[in-house]
Amino acid sequence: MPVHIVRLLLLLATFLILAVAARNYVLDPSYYRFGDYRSDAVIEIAADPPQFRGPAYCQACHAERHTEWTAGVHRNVKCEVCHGAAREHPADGPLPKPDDTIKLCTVCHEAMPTRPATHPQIVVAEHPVPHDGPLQCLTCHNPHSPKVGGQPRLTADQATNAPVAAETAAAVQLSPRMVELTTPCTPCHGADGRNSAMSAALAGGERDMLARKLQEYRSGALQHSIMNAVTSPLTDEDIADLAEHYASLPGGPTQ
Amino acid sequence: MTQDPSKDKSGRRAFLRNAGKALAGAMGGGALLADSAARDEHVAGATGTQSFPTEEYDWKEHRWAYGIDATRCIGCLRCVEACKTENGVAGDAHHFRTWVERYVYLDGEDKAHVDSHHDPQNIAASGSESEYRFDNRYKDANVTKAFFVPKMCNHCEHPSCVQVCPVGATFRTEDGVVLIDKEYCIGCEYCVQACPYGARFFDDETRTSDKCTWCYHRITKGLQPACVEVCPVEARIFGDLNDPSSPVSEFISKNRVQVLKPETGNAPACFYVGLDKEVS
Repeated sequence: MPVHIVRLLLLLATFLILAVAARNYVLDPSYYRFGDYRSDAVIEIAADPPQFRGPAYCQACHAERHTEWTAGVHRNVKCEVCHGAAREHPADGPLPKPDDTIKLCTVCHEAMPTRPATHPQIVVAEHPVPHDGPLQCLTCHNPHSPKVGGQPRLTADQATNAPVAAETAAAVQLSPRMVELTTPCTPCHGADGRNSAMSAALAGGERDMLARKLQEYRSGALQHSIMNAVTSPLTDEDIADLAEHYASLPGGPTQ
Repeated sequence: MTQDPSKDKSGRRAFLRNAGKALAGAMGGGALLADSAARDEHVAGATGTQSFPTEEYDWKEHRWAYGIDATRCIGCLRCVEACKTENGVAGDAHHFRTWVERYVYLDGEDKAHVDSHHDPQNIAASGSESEYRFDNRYKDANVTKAFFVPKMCNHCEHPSCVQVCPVGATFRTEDGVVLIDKEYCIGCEYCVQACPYGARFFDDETRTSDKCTWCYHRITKGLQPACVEVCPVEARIFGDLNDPSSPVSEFISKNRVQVLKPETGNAPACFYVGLDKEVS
């Protein structure tokens, strides 16, 4: 065989050996297992820990909130949409409780022509009535079940989240039933019924007059978007008790 | 999914070690054969009856697909934010695995105005690059038609990105998810250019390509992808096509669905309802 052919064959053989060796030693052993890729990469990606844990994870400790939330119209808005990813909570600290509810709620509910017409939307400055200055959504709405006056009512605990209620809640001793009944009233009228800044003062009013007004709001004879909504679930007995309660409180404007 | 920088170094070290071994192996044919046999054994052992990629999850039993109902989307961008949190995507507005486009037709105009969360006006409205919201620039405009369209990787059956990858760093899994092997990716960005949907981007931190994984680490644990988990209006639907009662199977069977750019032959696995002529 001519020398130049032998040299060529030797060169080819060296390349072949190098190529086979490279495939065996340099390539990850999991390459080609399922296809032209390193299948261990799939194992690595699948091993990442989830950050969002889902409502069932929250329910383990916050069962009461969970029940309240599943009964309301926000049941499709999961805990972590507003409170952020649970991650390893509670071990790695508390989750945020958004305090600027105008900013938070308008992310979904600000009126925009692009949003489906069926989606509930508001113009902040005109909701519920035209107003100046900030009026936090939490004043009237329970974020876990936001329909005003709908079932279930705000819990006593929730009412203390409302900024107006927080100041005066401690001043008045109430039975659990009255706490529940007055919860929707407190944000605007004050726990002592004397807040006249954005509503009528109730404390020290005439019992029969208060009851009649509540009945008229409930029937729609008197028109007021918030009052019509919050009175709609009330029974006659509820109305009588509420009138009795506010009539019995000492009158006069908030100090 | 942030890559550990130490991995890079150990990878390089392992490469040199293996290259050394290869050279030694090349010198002795017998040793080469023995090692080759050992490798075959490794593969055979792994492909037995075991489930893959985890003990609880076998990818042969699933075929994932995604549904998007554009008529429901309210453009709240919780999906964009959740995706970033879940997958550790860079915090600025210009790197993202999923996004939402706003299409607005104004009275007397033929073409739609299109914007997304990284539009400067929208960044200004949200207050920072790590918060996401659409501004309300059309509130007083005479809008004739307007809607939102969520977008993401389509996890195509014939993905062009996989076709062009020169190092086998991107691939389609047996359960229908297109993934990126961050260790093998050399950051050449061929895939970024090949994707007809603009679903991929270059991650400056890891120097690799990045894109949606349908939260592969979640779906293999029986969870929903993060964007589906947080969508408040059920505009995003995910499930297993092998299960006729899964949300996505019902979505496809009960609606008239379409895919983006069917003419590319990519055969996407994201099915849309409520698109319009200008959406592609």
